[in-house]
Amino acid sequence: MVLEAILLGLSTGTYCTMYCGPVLIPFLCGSEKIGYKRNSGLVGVFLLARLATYFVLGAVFAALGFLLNEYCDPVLARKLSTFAYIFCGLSLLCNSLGVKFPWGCGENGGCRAPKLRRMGNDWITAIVTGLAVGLHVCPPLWTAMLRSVFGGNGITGLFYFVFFYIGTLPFFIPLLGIPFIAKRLPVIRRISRVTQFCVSLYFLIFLGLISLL
Amino acid sequence: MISCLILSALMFLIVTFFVVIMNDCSVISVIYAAFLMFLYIRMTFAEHKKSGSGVIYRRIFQTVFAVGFCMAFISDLYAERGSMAITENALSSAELPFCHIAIPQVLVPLLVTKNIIFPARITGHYAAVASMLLIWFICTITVGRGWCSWICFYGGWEEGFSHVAKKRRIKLLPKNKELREFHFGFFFFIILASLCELACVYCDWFCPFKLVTEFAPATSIPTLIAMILFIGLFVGLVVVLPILTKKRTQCSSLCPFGAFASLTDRFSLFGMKIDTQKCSGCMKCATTCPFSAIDIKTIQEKKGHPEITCAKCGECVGVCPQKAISYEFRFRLNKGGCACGSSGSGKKSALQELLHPAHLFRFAAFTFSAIMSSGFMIKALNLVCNFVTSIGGAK
Amino acid sequence: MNRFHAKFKILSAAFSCFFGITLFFVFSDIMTNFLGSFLRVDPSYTGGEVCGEFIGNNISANAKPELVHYTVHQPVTNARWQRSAEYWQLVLEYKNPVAASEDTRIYIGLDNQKNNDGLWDFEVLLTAGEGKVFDRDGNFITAVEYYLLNDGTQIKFRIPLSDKRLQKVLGAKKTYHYIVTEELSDEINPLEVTMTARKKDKKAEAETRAYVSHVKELYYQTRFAADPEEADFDNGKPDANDIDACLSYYGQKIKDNPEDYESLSNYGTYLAMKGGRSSIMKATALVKESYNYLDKACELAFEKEGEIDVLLNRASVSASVPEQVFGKAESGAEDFMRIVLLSEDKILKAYSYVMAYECYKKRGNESKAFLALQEAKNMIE
Repeated sequence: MVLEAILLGLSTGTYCTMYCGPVLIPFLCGSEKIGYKRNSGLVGVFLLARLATYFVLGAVFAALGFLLNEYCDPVLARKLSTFAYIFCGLSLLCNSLGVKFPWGCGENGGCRAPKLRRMGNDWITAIVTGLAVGLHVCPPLWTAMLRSVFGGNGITGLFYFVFFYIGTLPFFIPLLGIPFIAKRLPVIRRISRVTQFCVSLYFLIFLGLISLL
Repeated sequence: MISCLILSALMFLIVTFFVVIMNDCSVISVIYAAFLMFLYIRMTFAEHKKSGSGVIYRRIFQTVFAVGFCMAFISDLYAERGSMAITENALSSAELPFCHIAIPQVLVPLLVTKNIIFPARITGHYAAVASMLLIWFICTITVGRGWCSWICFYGGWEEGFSHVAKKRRIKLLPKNKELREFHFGFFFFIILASLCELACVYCDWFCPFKLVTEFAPATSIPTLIAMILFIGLFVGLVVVLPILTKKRTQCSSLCPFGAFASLTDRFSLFGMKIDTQKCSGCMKCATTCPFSAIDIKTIQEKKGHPEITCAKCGECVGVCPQKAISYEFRFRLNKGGCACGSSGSGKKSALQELLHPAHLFRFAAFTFSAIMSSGFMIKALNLVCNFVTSIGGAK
Repeated sequence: MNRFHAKFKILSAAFSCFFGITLFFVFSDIMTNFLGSFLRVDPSYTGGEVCGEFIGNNISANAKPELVHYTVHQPVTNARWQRSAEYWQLVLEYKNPVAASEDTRIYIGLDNQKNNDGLWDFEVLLTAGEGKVFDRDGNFITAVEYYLLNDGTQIKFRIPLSDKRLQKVLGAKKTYHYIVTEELSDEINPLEVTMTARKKDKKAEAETRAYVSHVKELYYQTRFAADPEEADFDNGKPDANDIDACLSYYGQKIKDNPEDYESLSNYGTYLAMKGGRSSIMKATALVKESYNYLDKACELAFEKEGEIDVLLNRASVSASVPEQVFGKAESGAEDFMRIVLLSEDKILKAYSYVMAYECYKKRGNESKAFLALQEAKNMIE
């Protein structure tokens, strides 16, 4: 059972990284303070927040009876994804304008948007984006929820879900090496800030608000 | 002089085969071949006489190709589908033409998912995935980002518009570095978003050239927004800004293929060299560069070469009063140094001239240009002739 | 050593510029086909992975006899750039457009419908140009995305999965399909499809290659058995292997009679053969010239005796020349299909179908290629 859960996680891991990549990579690369510990901390906080959302979703789905189906409801999944993009986009945008974007707040002070600096703090951004990304529900995640505690499988089900989540984590390991590149190429930081700003607007407007129309 | 004759003779063979023989030796193909040979011979001899004086022929070719490609492509679309709009048939059967701008967007997902995230034919068409990938590969290892300034049939529009106005109204030189950073920032955004969406995001929302090729019909609010965007981007970045700035603004700020080609240009055979001993710091090259590849700092810090976004168009070569800029083999460009004096002065033999990097680069780039353009331009010329004949007949 | 190294690099660069790019474009056909064999479009754009395929008589005794191929795809979710983000694609292929335009009903049953006491759960009714999905009670659920392709012989339809009742196919391990022209009866056996993606069947591909070679061998054996070394028996005909002699022989015959379509066709064929043995530049010119003769021959031979041989010559040349350079695969396939219509010889028909299969494959038309191969197999096992 443990092996099955880990293999399910490994099979879906690339897709998890593909969803999280646009959020995490520019965010970490453009960080004001670069360090391996800080970087690992931000990734860890992001992943824990994502796990928290999965737990909340699992409980809600179980309570509402959505997990009676063996398959992932695609229309519901797309609607949740829309909200994931909106919340993610907003958080990244605050982080960009408050802290990250080339003409945002810098280390020398003179911040043009002090309020956004509080909201766009790196740790808060990591938590909010982690919570938001957790709203992306893919078929393997649905299967894991079904076979886990949310599907009524008791304590073994809990372990099933945890091991599934652990199976998705190896693909995030390369992100821990970002400080290695960011320290050697300072231009990467400025470019990443532009990327993050573009990602935030794209998530918010094109994938979020326009999808709601 | 002898080297120019040899180069012209070689180009004549190539043009005869690919343009004339491959198109059934029609009258139109002979006319187009003559046009190509005129451009190449004038360019080669002009460069022989004075470095940098042949760029005007490159500009003429690229602008003409952009218009001709547009005409031929649109007529193909009408023949196949009856309109420029993408039909659901074509989308659902994966029969869309695959353009080079989609290449960087599909490469990373291809490595991850082993699939092409674009509904195009894999083989059996001039715009099929396999053929475009191969062309890109060969181009990368030969002319590198020279594609943008010598071959790209989209960039030709900006090439033309950037030479419409006599005077520069907006000066972008102080913002060159920010422009490049934005370009690469946008490029990485496109790559990450395409990977996340498993669809080509630039093609979906940001491509201005849909106005001159094909587009999704505006049947819903999102597609209407997309249409407004691409019309706006075309008018703004391809027409208005090039006229005002005399630079290729779309190519140097938005095009993901351009950014990608800049990164892979390190594998090409050629680069540009700035002889820092000859350079007087007049900044004429930086002002002229259409790709914002030379900054104030590039000259002040005596880097010895333009920045990464150089597309080897040769515009800087002609304007430099000290003749400090020239083409060079990449393996000869010293890291951090200027490769000064390595080309030497004084009389060269015909063989040495023939093997000069400038000649080789122009030959390679023009070969690409001639072969890539032949089918489209002949089709376009046929359309023009038929149109003129029909008007003449009607009168 | 360094100077030698530098000179070597310069000469390599010169070779690449002068000849490398040209050679690349000349041989791009081969490289493109090689690269293309490793690439494929994401299935969400093309209808999803294939999970079931049925051919000819295996489809159903109650389906139309002209229905030759039925394909069931895996349902697709989160598709991009498509009309429906979630859909289920099914494809029907017919021998002729008339059969495709008539009404067809497909009854589909899902194995995960727990309260199902009947044979099926949904009915798909395809009429000319549209399709509708109904539930067991006859209530309309949704319209399908209907595409008529391949000159009207292929119906591809996609069932949107926005309705909850239809979404159950996402969880089905097996589906059951009844394809009928009239009402469904209890005696019909369904087509059972396991809803998992089929893996590339290397064994089947090897069998196909072996079959194609077998048919070609059979044809060549019968052909040479019929015309053994005609030059020995015929008056004045040169040795078939001496291309120049053959060209002058048939050239003279054309001079004597410009309407002699057999000579025109043979002359064109030998010209193409000469091109195949010449340098690249000459080859292109010769092959293009050969088509002047081949096309004229086919035009003159239309609906006359000897048309089959003339078509066979042109089709064979079309099948052997590089597609990227000449683009003759499609017309070659059409010529072979015409030979099938004209000929009574079973082996020639099978050979023509097999050659049409190769031409369609070259062109990237998998659907027509598949049908041609099936027809060949119907002729010769």
